[in-house]
Amino acid sequence: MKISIPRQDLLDAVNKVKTVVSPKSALPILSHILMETGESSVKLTATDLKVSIECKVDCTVEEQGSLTVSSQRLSSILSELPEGDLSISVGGNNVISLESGKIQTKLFSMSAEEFPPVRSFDTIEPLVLPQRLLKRMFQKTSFAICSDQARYNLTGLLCELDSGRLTVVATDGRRMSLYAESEGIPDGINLKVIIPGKMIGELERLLGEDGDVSVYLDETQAAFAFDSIRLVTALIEGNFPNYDMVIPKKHDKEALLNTSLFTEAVRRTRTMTNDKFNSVRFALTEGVITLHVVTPEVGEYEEEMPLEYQGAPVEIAFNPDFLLEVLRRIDTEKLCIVLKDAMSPGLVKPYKDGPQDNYLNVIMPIRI
Amino acid sequence: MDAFFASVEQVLNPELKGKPLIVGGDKTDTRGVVCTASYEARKYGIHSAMPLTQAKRLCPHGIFMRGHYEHYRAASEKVRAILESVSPLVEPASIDEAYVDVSGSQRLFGGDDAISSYIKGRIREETQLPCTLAITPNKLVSKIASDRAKPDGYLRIGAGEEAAFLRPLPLAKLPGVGPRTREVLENLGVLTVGALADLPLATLTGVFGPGGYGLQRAARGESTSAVEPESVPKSISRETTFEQDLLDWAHVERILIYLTERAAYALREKGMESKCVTLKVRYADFKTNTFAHTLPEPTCLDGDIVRVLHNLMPKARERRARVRLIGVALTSLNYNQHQLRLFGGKTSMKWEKVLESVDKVRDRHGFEFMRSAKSIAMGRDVELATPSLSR
Repeated sequence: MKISIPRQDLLDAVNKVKTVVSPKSALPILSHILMETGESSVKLTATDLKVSIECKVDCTVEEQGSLTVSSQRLSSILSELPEGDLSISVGGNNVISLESGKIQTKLFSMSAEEFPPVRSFDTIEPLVLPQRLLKRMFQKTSFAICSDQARYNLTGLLCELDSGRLTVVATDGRRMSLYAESEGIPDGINLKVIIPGKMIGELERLLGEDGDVSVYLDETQAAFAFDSIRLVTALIEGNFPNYDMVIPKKHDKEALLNTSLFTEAVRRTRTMTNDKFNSVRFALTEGVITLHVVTPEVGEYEEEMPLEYQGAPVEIAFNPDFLLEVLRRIDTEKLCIVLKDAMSPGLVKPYKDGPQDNYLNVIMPIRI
Repeated sequence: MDAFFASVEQVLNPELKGKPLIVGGDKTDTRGVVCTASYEARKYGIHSAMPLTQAKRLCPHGIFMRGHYEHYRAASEKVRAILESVSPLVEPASIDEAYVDVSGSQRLFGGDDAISSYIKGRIREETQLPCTLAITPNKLVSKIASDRAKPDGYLRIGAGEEAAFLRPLPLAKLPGVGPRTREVLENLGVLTVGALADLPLATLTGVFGPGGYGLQRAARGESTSAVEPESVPKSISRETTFEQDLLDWAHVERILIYLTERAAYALREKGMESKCVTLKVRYADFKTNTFAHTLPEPTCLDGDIVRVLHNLMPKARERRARVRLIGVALTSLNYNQHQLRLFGGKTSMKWEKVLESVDKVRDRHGFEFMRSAKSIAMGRDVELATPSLSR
C-alpha cells in the first residue's frame, strides 16, 4: 500500500479515531490504527473490541493495500511534521515508511491481518435521525451514566423508541436524567437498547450540528454513520431498571427558580464542602429558599434567595454536584423543582411557559 | 487517671489493694501485652505494652488478669461527667485521659487550685479512683506536667512558667520527639528540652525543614491547639490476637465477623458510614499485611462489610502461614451523609431498621446480647484476650 495525503487531513482523521485506543491493552494490535485504501481515499479504524471508530479521508492512492501503525506514535509524529503532503507506504516485515519532504521515518509495525474485523451492517435498514437532535439528547443526559463497572447494566444510556417518541435515560442509582423527543423521530419502529457510556462520549464529541446520522441496530451491536465517520459498538446486555417507577408523580411541592441565580448560589455552597461532607440543605418556605452548608472542620455557609413557592415548608439535602450537573444543562431562564419531603427524590426540570416534561432529572436526597 | 485499669480493679476488689496487679492477660496467657500495671507492679519494672511473658518473669508473684472493660468504661464516663460539670469544653484523649478548658470556670470556682481540689475530691468521692491533674496554659504543657505529677498529684504551671518547667526535662518527654528525631538532636548535642529551646531556629529548620519551627515552639512550651470537645474519628477498628496461632480460616473468619459486628456497632453509634474496609492480618512470624477495598457507596451495615472482608480473605490466605492477629478497620468515614438510592434502597433500608433495633437492644443489655448467627458459631461466650474488644 502507498498513499500520499496532506498532513493536516491525516492528523484530523487520526484525532477522530484515536480516542478509543487504550494505551495499555493486553492485545498489542489494539494500540494500533488500521489504514485501508479505497478508490481515492483511506479508511482509518481504531478499536478497543467494544467500540470501534472508522473515519474516511480523501487522498491519492498510489498502490492499494492496508497497514497498521501505532496510534500514539503516528499522532505524535504527525503533530510535529511540517505542513504539506506526506507519503505513507508499507514494505517488507511490516515496516512503515513515512516521508515528508526531506524527512524519512521508518516504523516497525504489525500485520494488517491481525487487526480485529469490525462488523459491517450492510444488510440492515438504518434509522435516520438528525445529528443535532441526538447530540443534544446525549449531552443532556450522559452525565448521569454510572461509571462503576460493578453495575454493568447502568454503565450505558438507555435508548427507547416507541410510537414515534425517542426517550434516552441515564442513571447511576443516585440520580437519573431523562430526555424525550418526538419531533423528527420516525414512527413505526419500536426498540430498546443500552448503548455503552464510552460510545455515547465519542458520539457527543463527533456528532455535528448539521446533517443526519444513520443508526444501524441488531440484537448485540449498534452502528452510527454520519459524515465520513462510522462508529460501531457492542450493546450492553442486561436489564435497565424501571425508570418510570422512580419518576415522582404525586409530589405536591413545586417551586420555580431563576436558573442562573440558583446555579450561582449552588456553586458558592460547593466551595464550602469537601470530599467527605458534600451535602447542602435547601429549606423552602413561601417565597424564600435558604441554602445551608455545615462542614466539620471547614465552616458554615448560608444564603437566602427568592423563589416562587406557595407550598408548606420543606427541607431537603442534596449533593451539590448532582444539582450542578443538572443546572448546567438547563437552558431555560427558569427551572422547576418538585419535592415531597426530605426522604423522597427531588425532580428538576426546565420551565418555559410551564414545566418542560420532556427533560426530567430525578435526584435522591442525602438523609437529613 | 493513675494506673486506671488496675485502680478500677482495686476498687472493685479491695483485696487487690497494695499488690502488684497487671491487667492485660491472666497467668495462663502466653501472649499479649500489659495494658496497665499498678504502681506496686511498676516497681518491678513492668510497664504497659510490655509482653506478658516478660512481665511474668519480672514479677512471678504478681496478680495477672484480663480485665473488665465495661467497668473501666463506666468509670471513665463517670469521670467525664464530673469534668463536664466544671467546663463544657472537655476533650477526651483516651479512656483515661482528658483535656478540660477551665479558663471560663475560674470565677465560678475561684481559681486553679480550687478547681483542682473540686475535681480531685469529686472523683475520689464518686469513684474512689486516684487521678492526677495539671493546670497549665496549654494542652502540650498539661500533658507533660500531669505525667510528672503522677500518681495522685496536682501541678500548676502559670503563664510564663512553661519554658522554665520544660527546660530540665529529657527530650523524650516532649510529644512529637520520637526516637528518630531524638537521635538527630542528640547528634547535635541536644539532650534536654531546654537545649532544644535554645537552639537557633535556623539550625533547626535547616535540619528538620519547616518541622523545626514546631519543635522549637514545643520546646518552649508554646502551643495554641484548642480543647475540642467533639472530635470526628478518622477510623474505627477492632482487632484481636489469638491465644494460639490459627490455621483454621473458617474459625478466623467467624472471629472476624464478630469483630466486624463490634466495629459496625461503634460506627452506627457515631452516626457514621465507611467507604473503605481494611482487613489486617498478622501472621505467626509477625509479618503484618493489610488488604483494603473501597466501596462504591459508603455503608454502616454489618453485611456489606462482611461481604467485602470475605472477598479480601483469599488474598490474606495466599500466604500459607498461621494467623496470629486478625482485625478490621473502617476508614473514609463520613457523618450524616447518607445518600439515598433510586433503586434497591429498600433492602438496605430494611437492614438499617433491623440493625437500629438490634443496637437499641445492645444499648440496654450489652453487646453480647444480640449477635449474628455466624459469629455465635464461634462460641456463645466469646472470650478474646483483648479486653478493649468490649468497647
